[in-house]
Amino acid sequence: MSALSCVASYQRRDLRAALRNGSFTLHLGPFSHLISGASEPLLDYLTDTYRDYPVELSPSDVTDVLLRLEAPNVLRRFVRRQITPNPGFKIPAVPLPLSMAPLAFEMGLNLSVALKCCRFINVHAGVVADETGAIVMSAASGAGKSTLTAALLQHGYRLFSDEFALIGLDQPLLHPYPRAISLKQETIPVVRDMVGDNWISKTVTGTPKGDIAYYRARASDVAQDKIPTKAKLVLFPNFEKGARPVARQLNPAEAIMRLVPASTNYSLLGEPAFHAVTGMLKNIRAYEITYGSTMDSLRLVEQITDQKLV
Amino acid sequence: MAAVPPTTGKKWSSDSRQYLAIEYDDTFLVYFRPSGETHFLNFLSYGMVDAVSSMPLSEEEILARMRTDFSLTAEELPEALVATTLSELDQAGLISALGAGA
Repeated sequence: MSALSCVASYQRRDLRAALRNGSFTLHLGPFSHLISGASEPLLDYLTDTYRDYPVELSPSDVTDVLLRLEAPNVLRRFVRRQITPNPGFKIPAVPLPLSMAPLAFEMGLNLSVALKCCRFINVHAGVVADETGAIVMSAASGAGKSTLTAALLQHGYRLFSDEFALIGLDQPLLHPYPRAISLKQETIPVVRDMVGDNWISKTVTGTPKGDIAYYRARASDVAQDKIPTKAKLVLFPNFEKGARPVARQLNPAEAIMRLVPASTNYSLLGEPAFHAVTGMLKNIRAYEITYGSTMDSLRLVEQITDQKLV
Repeated sequence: MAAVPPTTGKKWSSDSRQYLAIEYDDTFLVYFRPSGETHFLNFLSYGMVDAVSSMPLSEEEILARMRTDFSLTAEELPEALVATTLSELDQAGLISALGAGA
């Protein structure tokens, strides 16, 4: 495929027309995404947060992900307008006010990749990498994964993903999928202080998940979205207010047993998934880290990797 | 803990073609092909699965074998622990009783 232009290189009216026609094709990492649903809040979001992402205004090939952002019914297209993500299969999505289009967009892409993509083992995890390999961070929501991911990006790491560790089935390599990092509630000012206001989207307030903002991926990370790497460390971060920093090394088998339930398709893929996940953990260490501040989390990563960060 | 039904007289067996096992520091990750599930077993549980893969053994024979193989005393490895473990392995499908119900 020839080099594609990025979102920022197109006129807003052309982007709007492509979204209205359902021909807007966003390319990122191993996936192409066919998006439809022109709305000004979505256009605002795409032209800001997704400005550096390659896009086609009419698809040149079959696409991996289909996402329609549409009103839940005819009435809500016009009166107190609402939006809901439709990834082509039934999902229990609550219709959102149109102003929450960024959330519907991100949620729709997450569901599509989590539930339909079987070319990789998907594990819910943040992933960053440097030239020595990737750090995979798996945690429940609110455990500090996104903040730690954002912090590591300020210290020489590139973004693979804040949502998915995509592990190859043929070779247990991690594949980048560097979408914007989703920030919730009190993590928004923390990351804003860390990276600067220009990198954070407008906050979407009052969503079912509270206030949400997105940390834009760097153009350099988007440009390296086809370069996979091996894992070098698996972390299970756990932020606890006021906690003393502690790192506990895990038996690799225990680490794998924690990654398995964090995967949406491990059971579906079966034996190849077992080989891929055990292959990824081969000869690397896994830790559960507990900390009460971002600085402490970086110090723990520094100690574990023996790499100067702070 | 639920009472474990006595297994005296039964012979237990496993089929090594049905599972994949990887050892990590005295623990084993076992992928069981028929169910597609991955199990985390300690050395003793895996030792039992492995022991009955070459020939069917009764509970008493498994108990004796485990005590010998892992140099465990009767206090360290009581009969009840073996019975419970066999029951759990049976529920997971990793071993099965020959002539069960007979």
